[in-house]
Amino acid sequence: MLSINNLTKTYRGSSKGVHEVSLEIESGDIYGFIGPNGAGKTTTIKCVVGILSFQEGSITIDGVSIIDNPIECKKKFAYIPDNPDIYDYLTGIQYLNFIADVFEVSAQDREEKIKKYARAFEIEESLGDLVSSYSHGMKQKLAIISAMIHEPKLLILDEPFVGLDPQASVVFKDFMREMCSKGGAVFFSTHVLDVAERLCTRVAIIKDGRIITSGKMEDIVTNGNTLESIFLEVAGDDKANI
Amino acid sequence: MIKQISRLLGLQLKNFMNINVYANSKDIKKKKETKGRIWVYGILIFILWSYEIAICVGLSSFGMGELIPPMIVLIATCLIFLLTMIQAGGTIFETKSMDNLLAMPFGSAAIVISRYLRMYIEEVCISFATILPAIVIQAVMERGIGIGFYLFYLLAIVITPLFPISIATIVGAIITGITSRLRHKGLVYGVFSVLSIAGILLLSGSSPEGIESLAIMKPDAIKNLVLDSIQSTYPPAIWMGNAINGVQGSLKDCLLFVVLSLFSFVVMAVLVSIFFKPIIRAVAGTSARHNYRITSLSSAPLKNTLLTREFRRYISSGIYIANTLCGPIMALVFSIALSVIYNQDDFVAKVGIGRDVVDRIYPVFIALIICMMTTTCSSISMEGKNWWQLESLPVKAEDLYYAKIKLNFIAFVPFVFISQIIMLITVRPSIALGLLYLIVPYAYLFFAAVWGLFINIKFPMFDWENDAQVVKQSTAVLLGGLGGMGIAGIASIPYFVFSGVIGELIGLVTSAVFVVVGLLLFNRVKKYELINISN
Repeated sequence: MLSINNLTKTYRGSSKGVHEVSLEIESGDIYGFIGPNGAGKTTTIKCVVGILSFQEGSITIDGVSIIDNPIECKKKFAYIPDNPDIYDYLTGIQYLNFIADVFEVSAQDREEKIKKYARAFEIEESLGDLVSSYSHGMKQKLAIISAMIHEPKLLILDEPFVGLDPQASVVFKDFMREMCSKGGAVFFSTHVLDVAERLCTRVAIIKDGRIITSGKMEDIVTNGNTLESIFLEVAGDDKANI
Repeated sequence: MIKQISRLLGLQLKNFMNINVYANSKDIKKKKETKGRIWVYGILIFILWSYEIAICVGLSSFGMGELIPPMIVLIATCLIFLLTMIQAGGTIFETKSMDNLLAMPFGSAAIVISRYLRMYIEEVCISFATILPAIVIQAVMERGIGIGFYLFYLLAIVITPLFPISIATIVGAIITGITSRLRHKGLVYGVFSVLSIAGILLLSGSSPEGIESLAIMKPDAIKNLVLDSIQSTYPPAIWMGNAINGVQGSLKDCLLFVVLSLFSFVVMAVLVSIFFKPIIRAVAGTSARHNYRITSLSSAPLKNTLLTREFRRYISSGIYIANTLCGPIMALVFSIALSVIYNQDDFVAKVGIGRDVVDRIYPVFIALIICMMTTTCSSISMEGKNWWQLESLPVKAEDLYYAKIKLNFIAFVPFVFISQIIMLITVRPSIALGLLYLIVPYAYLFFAAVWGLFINIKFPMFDWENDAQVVKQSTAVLLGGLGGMGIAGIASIPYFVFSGVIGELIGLVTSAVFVVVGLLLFNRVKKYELINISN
């Protein structure tokens, strides 16, 4: 579904960035991407979704390259950043309609899906209000709904659980599982290791811009260890940053 | 209180002219933005100085040197008033850092005064830049200049900005206060601001009596006429001018000017501080009805939905509306005023040029005014922190750019169209000139819109706290707006050089060239991928 091969991205005037990152995310995967602050998680994600250009490597989603065919590629996924700055001059429903128009969702389909997700996240009554009146959590819920309404094959999320109330987190995790059971995939970064351990089928740990370890969750978390202890072990000195 | 003000002011001045970002950022684009801005300010100062030097040398050569100080104080006052009028409300009631500020031990008065002083320091720089050529020319060309001349000019530089900023801040506070509780506060704020500016334009449009005899008047009579005109427009300019000129008994008037300016500052500080918290809460607050029910939804093609989004973005920012609609509103006000006096006997005396010249100048003049500040100069920057959204969506850059240019036409065309109809009915031009009336403004506007977009792509500014930073101070706005108008102005010179049918033909050819150049430039613009703008 998502193939990252030898991705190298450095910033001008800095050695920071990511180096030779390779990951494979298959249909049905819920893939956790963890690492200390500044390790390169957000940089990797931004390269994948086409927000950052990169010097070396390739990224394909469902066989389509983000560099060669960005528009086709972007039709296949939905992305939610760590702090979704959504157009606060639109109402919630105007924003969802905008996204649905961009992804060419039919009027009937969008109505059904918006009803389904808005009711699940309990924000239907607020959809007529301007986004500027929303709390951080409500913006996060709106961003999640906007990501789900066009049924992407791949969900790419940067710290998706920050700001969500416990009930919304449970609902969202259920939607993620539902999506993956239908052949989709989810790739997300997180600092909440116990959530990652319980939710993810695969995981990758990144440190100083390089992948330290990656694979199936059961292959990485073995012998009674937890993901947290594994992470502290491989992240070494950076444990204070978690 | 003074400590609080100095701390807040110090914090705001830390990034004066973007110097702190320039010094500490490794981002090449940000450095380029700052460099570009400094260059543009340099060009603007050069234009201002050229204009002022011409006036001052002319007046001094004709023995009317004593007109220079009041005129220059009036010019500085008008310039400062126009510059602060649109941004004062947004600057004083800027909400982005408000949660932090209100949680700290700062009083409302300290916040208001520190923000006012930041504007004041910026405007003192403008006052200095405006008055400096007058000091130099007078010092070189006039005789018998004493120390008082320099001291009073220095006082003028420091005092002149106070009154216009205070008035602009009070007007800005009133408009912000009235509009802050409304759902579409941006749109209403923009409309109020534009109406205020249009009102000022109309009020200042009257010419002094007796100007028809200017050509046959003696220098003393002209001098008195100009002084009367300044006196009726802004008496403090005369008071300050008299003090600089060393007129007997003028010290009292000068002191009155100082006291009046300081009084306006105190009134502003007291009034705005009292209403600061209620207004800022209303500005920061939002109305939420929590009663939405999903009913039937409709879909729209991508191009339409992008245009709708552009339109909603546009009407959400009062400063954006006020700054960009100023040109079209001025064009409309100018056309209405011209149509009112066009058939009057003293038309030539009032306008200063004949009807045939006005008829020819009109279409290019209107075109230049509307090219002064297109919406596209800041439309990329106005996306601000939302830019990630467009970068990550499957939207072609070309479609987004089309939407931005279309919005420029949607916002401007109604004003231009009404202006054209008014003047076509009033002037009843020949077919060739009538064609120029209809074609020139749109051809120039198309070029200016594409040029503005091109410059904004080259000089984007996404990290802003306040709309005013993008709309009033960014490099793209200065280069895109004034640059577009400058190019259009230079290209129009041949039209003015040749008269009659040849001139009209040149006008049509120039318009066609602008459309072709606009299309070629757009062809280049649409190749800029969205990802490359912020990277």
